[in-house]
Parts: sequence; C-alpha cells; structure tokens
Amino acid sequence: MKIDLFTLFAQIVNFLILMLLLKRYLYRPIIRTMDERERRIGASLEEAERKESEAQREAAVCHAERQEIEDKRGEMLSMAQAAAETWRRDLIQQAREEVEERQLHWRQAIEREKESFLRDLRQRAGAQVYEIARRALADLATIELERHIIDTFLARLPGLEKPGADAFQTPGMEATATADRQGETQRREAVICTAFAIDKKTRERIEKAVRERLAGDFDLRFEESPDLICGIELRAGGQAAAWSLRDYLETLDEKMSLAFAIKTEE
Amino acid sequence: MEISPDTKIIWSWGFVNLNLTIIFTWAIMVMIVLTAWLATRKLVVHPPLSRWQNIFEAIVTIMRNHIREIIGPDISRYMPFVGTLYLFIAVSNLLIVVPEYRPPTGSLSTTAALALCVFFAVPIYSIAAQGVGGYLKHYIKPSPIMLPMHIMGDLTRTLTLAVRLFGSIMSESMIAGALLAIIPFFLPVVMKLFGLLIGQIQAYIFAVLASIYIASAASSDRSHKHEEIPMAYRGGSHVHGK
Repeated sequence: MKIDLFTLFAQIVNFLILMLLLKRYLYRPIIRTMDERERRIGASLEEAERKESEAQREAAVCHAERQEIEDKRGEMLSMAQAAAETWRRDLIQQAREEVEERQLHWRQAIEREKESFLRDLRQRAGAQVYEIARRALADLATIELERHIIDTFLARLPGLEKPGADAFQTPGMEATATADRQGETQRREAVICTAFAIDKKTRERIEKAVRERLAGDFDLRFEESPDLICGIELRAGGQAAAWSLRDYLETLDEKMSLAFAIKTEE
Repeated sequence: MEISPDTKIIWSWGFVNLNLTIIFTWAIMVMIVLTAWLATRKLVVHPPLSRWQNIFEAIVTIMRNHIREIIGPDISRYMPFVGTLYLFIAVSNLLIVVPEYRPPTGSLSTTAALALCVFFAVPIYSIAAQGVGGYLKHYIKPSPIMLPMHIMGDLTRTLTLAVRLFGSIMSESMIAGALLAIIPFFLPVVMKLFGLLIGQIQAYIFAVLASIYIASAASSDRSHKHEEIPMAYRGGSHVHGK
C-alpha cells in the first residue's frame, strides 16, 4: 500500500488526456446536439403555439362568418318562403279564375248545344208530329189533314172582326201586330203561307174567304214555307193570323227546356 | 496476494515503470474514447437516434442533471471534469467481471492521482469563478483563526477521497480473493456482483464529492455552502464504504 510516484504522475496525465478527449469527442458534440434539438423543439413549440393562436383566431373569424351566413340564410329562407307563399296564392287564384272561365265557357257551350239541340228537336218533333198526325188522319179518318186545317182556318176566319182581335187568341190561332212601314208605302198585299202545296180549287176558296174578310184592294199571294211545319198563316198589313201546330210545339219546347234545365242543374 | 496492480511491472526503463495500472488505464481510456467517438461520429438532431447515441445522451443527461442539482445552472465548465471522473471510475469498476482484470482504482496511486486532480481543480475553478482574491479570502472566513482549519480541511479532504475509493475497491478484491480460497463456489460470484454495485456507488460518490467541493469553493459564500452539504459528503468527516 504505497504510492508509486510515476504511476501517480502518469495517472494524472492519463486523466487529463482522457478528460480532454472526452470533452472533444463526447461532451461537446453530445451537448451541442441536445442543445440544438432543444432549440429546435423550442422553436417548433413556439411555431406550434403561434400557429395554434393563429388557428384559434381563424377559427373565431370562421365562426363569426358562419354565424353571419346562418343569419343571412335564415333571413333569405324567410323571404323565399314568403315569396313562395305569395306565388302559390297567385297561382291558386290564377288557376281558380282559369277554371271558372273554363266553366263559364263550358256552360255557354252546353247552353248553345242545348239550344241548338232543342231547336233541332223542336223542328224534328214538329215534323214528326205533323207527319204522324197527317198519316194518322189520312190513314184512320181518310181525311187529309191539310184540307181540314184549311177548312178550320176558313171557318174561323170570318170570326175575326179584324186582325189583332181577340178571336185570334183561340187555341191554335195567334195574331201578331208588327209595324210594317214598308207595307204602308207600297201596295197592300196579303200573303197566305202554308207548309204544303195547295191546289188551285183550294186556293180559290181561300182567296174568296180572305177577300170577304179583309176589306179593300190588295194582292193575295201564296207561299210555301217548310218552317211553318203544319198549318196556314195569313199575313196582311203587318198583321198575321195563323192556324198551325206552332202553339203545341211551343208548349212542347217549353216542357223540353224545363226538363233539360233540371238535368243541367243536377 | 497482490494488493495493488502497481506491483505488476510490465516494462521498466529507469524511472519509468509500466505497470498493470497504467496499462489497464490506457485500455479503459481507449475503450471509452473509441466508443464515444463511434457513438458521436454520426450524431443526428432529429429521431430516430442510433442506439449508442441514445445511451450516451442518457448518460450525459443524467450526469448534467446531477451536477446541476449540486453546483447550479451554469455547469458547462465543470461537466468534462466531473463527468470524466465518474466515467473513468465507473468503467474501471465495471470491468471487474473480466477475468484477470485489475481495476486501476484499486491502486492507491490512481486514487491519489484522481484526488490530486480534485485538489487542484477546486482552487482552479474557484479562481476562475471569483478570482484569486475571492478564493484566498475564504481561508480567513469567518475568522483568520480558521485558516489552519481550512488548510487542514483541504488536505484531509483530498486524502479521504483517495483512501475511500482505494479502500473500497481494494478491500472488495481482497475479500473476493479470500472467499475464493475458503468457499470456491457460488459465494465469490455473489461477492463479485456485490463488488460491481460497490464500484458504481463509489464512482457516484467520488463524482458527487468532487462536485460539492468545487461548488463550495466556487461559491462566494463558502460557509453557507458548507451548511448545505450533507454531513455524509463532507471530506474527512466520514469514511464511506467498507
């Protein structure tokens, strides 16, 4: 247990050399590396904190903008809903008016068709009634309907005091007074209008009866009018006396119109 | 039985005697420096780090933290000295597991050399910190009567450093040898493991004490620093180890 001086000195030198070598190859590079890493980590942390604060700021801005957008969206939605409601009401009103207009047109068309149909029906019904009656009278009674009509007309003609009198109001007879200014200025004329052709003998009978009944000088003219359907009509001086099926057909027309009106209401 | 590796002379030339202590010291130096050079040759700042860089960074970080706790925040000038003390003693004591190895710390010459290094390092660091006047002034504080005590304290402190380390390592080797002669199986292995532990503790104690001495001398308020030092760490007041 003694101290060797050379070893002592050598160990001191060895230790100093070791210290210098370790300082050169260990402590300095290691510490420098760790310090650099610490510095970079610190810088990264600072950068991260800066970015975080920046991100928070951006987030706040985005939040505010989003809130503003939400508010605007709600406002625009309310406006759009109001506009849509107004538009919807307008469309409904427009559609309603259109439907009403179409209904009106439709009703008018129905009315026109109804009138046309009734007119046609009246024509056809009168014609059929006349035809049936004529055939029935001709076949069953062996008497011509036209001759009976003319006879009845001639028989009732003297009963008329003058045209327009009450005698024209008998069933089947009608007197109509209309102003005929042209008739006043021209020569007086009487017209016998029938729906059928009249032979010469019958015409003479009619002319005689008419001239006896109507005073004065006038021309008598015979006409055939299919519109008259069945009967005879005397027109003179703007007045007329008729013996025809018109009254019966008018009654039929009224009843048919009433029936159609009830069906249309239903 | 050889007590010290100093007695095993490998080569001699006059005053120069190359004994096992110096040879093993050189081997340890080469091993430490070579490993450190290889580890720090390709240092990287960002992970992934190499295994050796990780190990040395951990060692350096632990040493820095310990020194910082003792001396203070500014430890850059003390780190090579204290760190080298610890590394050299720790590696010297760690290699006792190698057959035929004799730790240089089992030589009183080596421990005395390390203690002398501490003995001279204390005034050097103190003068570097507070100047020659500041360093000399602490010998007459709190009273000039304390001057002999301070001088005696410095000497005994150095002596205890040397003897403590030498005694611990040498006695461990002797006990291991004695037990090997009495009980050749099992117990020497346990004692070897125990010696490993003792060696690492001694390395830690030597480095910590050196740090404390340097810190107390480098501080301007020497007496206050002494009060802060645990009694177990004060040179001359207690002998650690066996």
